[in-house]
Amino acid sequence: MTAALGEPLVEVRALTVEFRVAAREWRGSKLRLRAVDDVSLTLRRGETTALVGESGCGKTTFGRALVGLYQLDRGTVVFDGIDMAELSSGQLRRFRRRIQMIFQDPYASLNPRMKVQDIVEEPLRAHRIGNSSERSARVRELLALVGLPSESGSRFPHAFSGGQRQRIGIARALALHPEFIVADEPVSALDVSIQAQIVNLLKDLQDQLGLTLLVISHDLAVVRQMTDRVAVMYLGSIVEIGARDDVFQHPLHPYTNALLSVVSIPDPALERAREVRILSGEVPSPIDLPSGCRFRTRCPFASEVCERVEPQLKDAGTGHLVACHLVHPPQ
Amino acid sequence: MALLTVCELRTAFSTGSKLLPVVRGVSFDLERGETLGLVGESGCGKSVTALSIVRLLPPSGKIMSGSVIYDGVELTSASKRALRQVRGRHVAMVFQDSMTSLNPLLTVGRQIAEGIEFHRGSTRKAALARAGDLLEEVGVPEPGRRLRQYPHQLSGGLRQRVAIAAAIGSDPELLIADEPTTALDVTTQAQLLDLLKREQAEREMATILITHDLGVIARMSDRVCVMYAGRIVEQGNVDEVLKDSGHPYTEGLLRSVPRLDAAVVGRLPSLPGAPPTPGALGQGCAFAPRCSERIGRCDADPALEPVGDDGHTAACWMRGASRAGAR
Repeated sequence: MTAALGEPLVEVRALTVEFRVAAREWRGSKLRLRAVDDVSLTLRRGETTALVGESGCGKTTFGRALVGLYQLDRGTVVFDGIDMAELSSGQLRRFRRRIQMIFQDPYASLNPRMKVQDIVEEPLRAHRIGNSSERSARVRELLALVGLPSESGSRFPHAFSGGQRQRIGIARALALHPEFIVADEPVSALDVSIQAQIVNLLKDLQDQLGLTLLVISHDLAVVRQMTDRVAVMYLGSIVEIGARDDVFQHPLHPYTNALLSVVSIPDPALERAREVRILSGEVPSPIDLPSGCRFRTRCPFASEVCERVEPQLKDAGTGHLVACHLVHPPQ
Repeated sequence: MALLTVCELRTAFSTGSKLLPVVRGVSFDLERGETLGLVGESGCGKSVTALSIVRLLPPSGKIMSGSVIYDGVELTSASKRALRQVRGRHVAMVFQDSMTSLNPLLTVGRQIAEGIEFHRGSTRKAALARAGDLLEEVGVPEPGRRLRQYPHQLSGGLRQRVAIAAAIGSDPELLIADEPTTALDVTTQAQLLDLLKREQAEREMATILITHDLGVIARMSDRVCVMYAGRIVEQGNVDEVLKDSGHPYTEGLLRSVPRLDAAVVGRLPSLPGAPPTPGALGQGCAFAPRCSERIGRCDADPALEPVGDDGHTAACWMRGASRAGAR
């Protein structure tokens, strides 16, 4: 079974991921940190979805859980009609070819003692695909695909700049012809002039190969240039999700509004005139979540009901969902 | 007279037998109360320029030539004793990573009070009380409790507020802030920039703000220097430089920043290639290999020349006064 373009490819239902953390105040006992709390999300084939939020909001944990790097505490991930929890380990291993990941730090994610050709070839070897000459041919093809000169293969990662290293990481992720790629902050470690190169490369590759992408990022301006849909995460939960233009032009959640208002624009006159909504305080600890709405401690519009009732993600029209009592007043 | 005058500053780092030039002839003036943005990509020499000014270079770094005159005093040849009087007291610094710039073994209170005692000659008790006031001023909640805590007990945003409190504690005339908000989340970043701007206005403190973020430059600075490969390639009033750039690098950088107020485009305009590494610089304009306007003359080094009003200069053969004779 294969989902056609635009059909759901990845369906995440009520996903919860918890970590057990030691806390000195509670000697002996472990506390539960709920990094991802009851998140549902559908990713359609060929589409890019951006997951945005600040550090600690659970966006990376969510992405890693989709790739199968964490035990799921609750919820299911259905990939192309198959519930991943029901696969045997052998099946899961074969299945993993279809899902790959691109990492944030191109310095930490490439083994400095391996030549580039071995780094890119490694997934092929791990899955026992082709013989040695077929694999080398595929490596050359991949290097060309990501815009690296063919002689790059015989060199080590230290010989490459940050942007070129990120291209190597992308080539490795593409080696097994994946359908779905989770890109965790793919450009945030790169310089401004290089960021644009990598954003363009990812967009081109998606068009050419029909990839489904989940881009995890804190940079709203970059994400806007490469995504179809946007999900905004706060403290482990999605507070707003919708088509790119709906969310960017008509943000409904106060948190989304604040996130958009703090993105500065390199135009001094505009910057002086622009209204910046500065959120007071800090993100509460995910070990000790606020009652009701988890954003209420920083929300300028919080009222008594926000303290009592947790708002649910509801449609505010044309598939633009928001979890806020301001938009959907409770009965 | 300018508060700070940096003239033809050159700093190099030794790696084994080789000397790598990192700052290659940087000159600028800073007036009292003014905010100067130093902007450029990683490795362009903006941080090393700042560290050279206060002579806090690591052992492998060395000022090769040039001068740094702060309030009439030449710092490049000043004695260690004289430098200690300037650093902290007159010139304070805030760094990107407050986890490493604060001493993990000192409480927040000691950290801030130390400078006040040393530079102001206050008693321990008075200095600690002043530290509490400063924490309140920079927006740290429950300052009394925070004074007794250690840096690791604070969040990144609070730590950076503590670092700012420690820096402004001795009422410096110049604050050097090196990527002060880069390691922080966007909403915290906005809080901190707001705080810096307020402190600076109230104290009439001159500031050198080092950042790679042109948006931050637009919000915070009066004037800006754009650095590339160890040199200033353009400088001027922030409105002029960002609205009417005089250097292809500044233009390329501005184009490649995605803006929330612009349309979504099919492909982002990008600069080809990557900045040169310090050891690999050839002859002529360092930006020429990535420049779309390159001409034969770019094989020679361009100097900063006027390209607009108000002291706006750029180092490009295709702009400036010598353009007429360029082709």
